[in-house]
Amino acid sequence: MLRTCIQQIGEEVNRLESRVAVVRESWNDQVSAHVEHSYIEALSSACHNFYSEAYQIETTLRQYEESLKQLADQY
Amino acid sequence: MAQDAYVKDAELLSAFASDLRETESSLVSQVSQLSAVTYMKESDLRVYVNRIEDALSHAQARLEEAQYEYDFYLHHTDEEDFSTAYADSLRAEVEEAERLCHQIAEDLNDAQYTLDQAIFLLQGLRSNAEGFASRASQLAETAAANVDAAAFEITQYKMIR
Repeated sequence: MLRTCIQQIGEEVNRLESRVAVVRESWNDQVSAHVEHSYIEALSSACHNFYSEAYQIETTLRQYEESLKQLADQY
Repeated sequence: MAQDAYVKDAELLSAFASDLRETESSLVSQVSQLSAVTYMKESDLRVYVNRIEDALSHAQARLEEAQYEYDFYLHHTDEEDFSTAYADSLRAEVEEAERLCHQIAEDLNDAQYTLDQAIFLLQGLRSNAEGFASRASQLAETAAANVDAAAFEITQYKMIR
């Protein structure tokens, strides 16, 4: 369930990047580099960082859960 | 630029601003769900520790019972009925129950440590998720507002021309 939530966030990040890629094709002076660099890239980067961190945490949690299960299953 | 192209740009940007707001809404919702799931995960992990605690309680009860049976046999058995072999077997049961209690207590200690580590990670994940949702929301909203403004400027420019 936790992994599903994290994967959904990852999918949203991918969707965002696809949308950015489409708009970037038609990027013009009206949308300054400032907007792209300050907000959109920052948003994309924040999403990536969070996704990557959450994924790592979830992987470690799986290992902890497996250890706990093995200990509990003995009894 | 032809007017059609301006319209297309403005429409594209307006749609992108909407996309950004959808992304923001979706991320906030998913992060909220993620946070709720971390509490569920915490409960799930506690169940394993509770199972070991239950096992320790049973083992301790069994130890008390075995100790009682052994003591009772030693102190309330007539000399002519007393069997050293039987007393030894009762003593062996006490020792086995003690061994089991010790083993479970060690496992419980390990499990509690692992659970504490997991809870620490889950709390960190919740905290990061809250920070991320707030930052993502702010960035997406600001970006959408800027993109909307750009779309509006294009429309105005087209009207002036």
